[in-house]
Amino acid sequence: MKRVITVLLVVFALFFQGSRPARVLAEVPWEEYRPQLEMEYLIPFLFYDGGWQTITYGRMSSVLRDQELQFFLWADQKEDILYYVLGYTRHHYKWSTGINFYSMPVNGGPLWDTAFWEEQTGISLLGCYRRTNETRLNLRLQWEKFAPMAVASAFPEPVEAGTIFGWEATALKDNFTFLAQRGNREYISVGGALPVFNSGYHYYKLEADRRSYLPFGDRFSAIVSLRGGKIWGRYPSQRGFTIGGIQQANLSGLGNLVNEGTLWELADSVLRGYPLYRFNGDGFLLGNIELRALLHPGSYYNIGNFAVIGSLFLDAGQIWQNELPLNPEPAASWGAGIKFFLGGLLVGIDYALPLDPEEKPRWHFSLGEVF
Amino acid sequence: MKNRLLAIGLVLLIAITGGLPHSRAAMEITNTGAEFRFGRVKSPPRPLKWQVLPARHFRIHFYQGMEDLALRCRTILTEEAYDRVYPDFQDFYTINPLPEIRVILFDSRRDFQNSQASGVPLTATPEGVAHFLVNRLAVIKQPTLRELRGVLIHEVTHIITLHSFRNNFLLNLAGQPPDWLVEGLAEYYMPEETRFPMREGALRDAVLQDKLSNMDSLRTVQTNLDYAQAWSLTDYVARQYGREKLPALLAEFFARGDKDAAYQAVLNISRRELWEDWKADLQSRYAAGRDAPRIRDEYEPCIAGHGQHMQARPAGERRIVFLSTHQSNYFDLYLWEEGKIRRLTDWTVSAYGVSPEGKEILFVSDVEGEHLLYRLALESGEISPFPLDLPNPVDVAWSPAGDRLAVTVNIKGDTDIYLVDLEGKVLARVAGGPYDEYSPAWAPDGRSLVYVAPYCGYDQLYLWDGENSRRLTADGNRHQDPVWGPDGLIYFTIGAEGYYRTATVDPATGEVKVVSPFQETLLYPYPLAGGEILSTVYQAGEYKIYRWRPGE
Repeated sequence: MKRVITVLLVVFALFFQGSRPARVLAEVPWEEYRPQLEMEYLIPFLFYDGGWQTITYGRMSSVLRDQELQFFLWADQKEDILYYVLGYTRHHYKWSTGINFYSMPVNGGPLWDTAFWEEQTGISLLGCYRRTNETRLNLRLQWEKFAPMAVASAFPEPVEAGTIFGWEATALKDNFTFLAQRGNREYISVGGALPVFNSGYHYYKLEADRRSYLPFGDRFSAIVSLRGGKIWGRYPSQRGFTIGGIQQANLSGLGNLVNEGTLWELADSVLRGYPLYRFNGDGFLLGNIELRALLHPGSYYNIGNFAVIGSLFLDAGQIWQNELPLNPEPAASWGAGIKFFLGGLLVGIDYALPLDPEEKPRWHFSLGEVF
Repeated sequence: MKNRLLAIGLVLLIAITGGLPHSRAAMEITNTGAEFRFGRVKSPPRPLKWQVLPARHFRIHFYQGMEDLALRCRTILTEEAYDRVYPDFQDFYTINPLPEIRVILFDSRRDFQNSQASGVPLTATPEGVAHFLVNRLAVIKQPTLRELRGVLIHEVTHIITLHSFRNNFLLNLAGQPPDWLVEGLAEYYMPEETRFPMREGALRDAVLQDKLSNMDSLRTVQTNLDYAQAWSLTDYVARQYGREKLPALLAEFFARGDKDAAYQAVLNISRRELWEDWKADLQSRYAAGRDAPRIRDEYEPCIAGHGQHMQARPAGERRIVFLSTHQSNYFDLYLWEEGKIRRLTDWTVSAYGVSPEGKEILFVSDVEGEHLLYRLALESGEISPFPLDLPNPVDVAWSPAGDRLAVTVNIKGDTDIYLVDLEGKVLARVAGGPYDEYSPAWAPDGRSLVYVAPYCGYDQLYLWDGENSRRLTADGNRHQDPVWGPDGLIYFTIGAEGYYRTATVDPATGEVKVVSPFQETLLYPYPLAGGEILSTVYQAGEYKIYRWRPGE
């Protein structure tokens, strides 16, 4: 009940903070704009099954959408469940800031191959300096309490319960254009967790990623990707770097408390020829080379709702735990794949052959852009 | 397991309802940009100081430099848009009145795309968008008053026709109307002269090629042709069954969906019968030019490559400058030189003029938020700002002597034409009436200008002799894209009802002669010294550049 009251208080505080009357400017027929949140829509589902249950989603915004508030409530009287997410965003000229309150089960893994479910309750403060459309600085401060709900047997690490207070700063550039198959996607991120606010974790983390896209004519392109990271200190075991397969959920992102490991994550780390969650540690290096050929239509610029893209690839990666490599030789594989562009969604199937003769070839399914 | 399924269902619900437009984290439903690793973010090119202009039924939001435009919009909204649309749909608001409509004006596409207020993704390219759930509409300032009127009335129509059904949209109760009626109503209530002419051009082309969409396809309206068909079908219903059937049909679609029963209840006709009757009506409407020879049977496009190509002009010997979407979603400047294509800009370019020697280009772009003129050196590719003393340039024409420019600007909501020197200083005003004057073209002697302005509801050509203007054309056609040819004649585009051809007018006698014999629509004629003409030809959704010779 206290949580509900807290959430409601925050909603009211945000709702009324911009409601002062607008000032009329002298001798002109217009007045200053003052943002004020108003309801865009509220979608409540309420049903009774021996106890009340509700699923409610709401969205509020100011006229110019320089203030936005969304909330989501899932409550079940019989199961004694109260889950919620509330996010408030304020947009300024170059800065956007936001605050999220949440308590929700989270799936760490792709929809079709869950690694674990955990309940997460926390607060995150986000800041984003949007220098250009392609370059920005992301800032994050987050307190979170997490507890495992279910763990897949394939997941190699024990899943801990705990509390964490983390921070992160990421400089990011993305000037890749799908139509031109040209550009770079890159970031460098520093972050970690501090032993305050009842947090049991203290670590620092460095992570970097660069993907270069090079077109050759209208149909062909090469993609070179290099990614690496390192964590120093005590971190939750399930939030280290994890590679293997096509990680539709960026578990390694969880290492810096980004909380990205959810349903809508596109693949971030790719080591085909190995099963999901195969390697887990506190340091990693991963590289990929992929050659792509647009099989239909004749040019990316002519893609309507359907396209077919073939690819040849070479993946290689190594992961370390406590400065020691998990493999004597880096894991590597090569193979071929095909991707279907279906109305904006990329659906891919890859067949990978590991260079390690003890590993068997594997099929991989992916949704969205793998790089 | 039940909880897991519920959790998945909940997150799906958020996604479906638009709760996660950008974020990839279930726990975060803010929208700062920091929720995701990769992807582009909205970064406004300049700070905007917003003001609000109250008006009858509206509140108009605008920012610095748009004060005159806001006042102009107030007149359009209160005196034209509302009164044109609301009376037909007032029965929807007998119990719950239509709330005040909030209008958000943007100075340029770049400001619009980079603002959260637009409510659309960074790369979306509409001229305006109506958020009927919250009674807000966002509109980009248009180059001309006519286009601004069209966009405002189009978007206001969406709000008035749909707002009362917002709960049906949210909860998907009963049925949804097909897009052909939703967009068709918005196009139908636009005054005829404000409708984008090439929408009907696309419709005529589809009729001649027998490529009309069926009713299932028209449930979704996306392309230029879709909009034209939506307007045409709505217009057909209004003409055949009465305008009062339009709100009745809309309400019936919300009650029953896009099903035969809805058509039967309102029009007493089946869905298929309506489609067939409409198709037959179109065949008689677009008979003009049906039997004419096709340019594509006699000529090849002179510039190869994908994307749209248009507005070609020579720039020296064996070089052609043109606008194209060859490598982007937007029009950029390209140079064709002996078979090779070079991209000259990677900004949005809306208009340009070539210097007499063909070594420099002045172009209009909104890359910095507001529309500005830029100077491009063709050989080096260097681009620098042109210091124009006037705001909001729309198009530009370089005088034959290279010492003056005729610049169309939109300062007060409609376009006017000024002469400026190469330092950007104003020399004279050519035309400055309360309506649109635009598209200036120089006479070879550099003393006179021809330009376009409306007269009796149609675009006509006017001649400015250095002191006074006189009207050159008067018939019931659109007259546009004038260019003075080396033979002393003025070449231009003439047409109506989606069929546009190349014509000449003798500036001395006013005699008009159509010179293109083709079935296709030809736009932006540019007569070359040898007697050939560069034209932009529309066919099957594409604009391509052809080089052809009249009389062949």
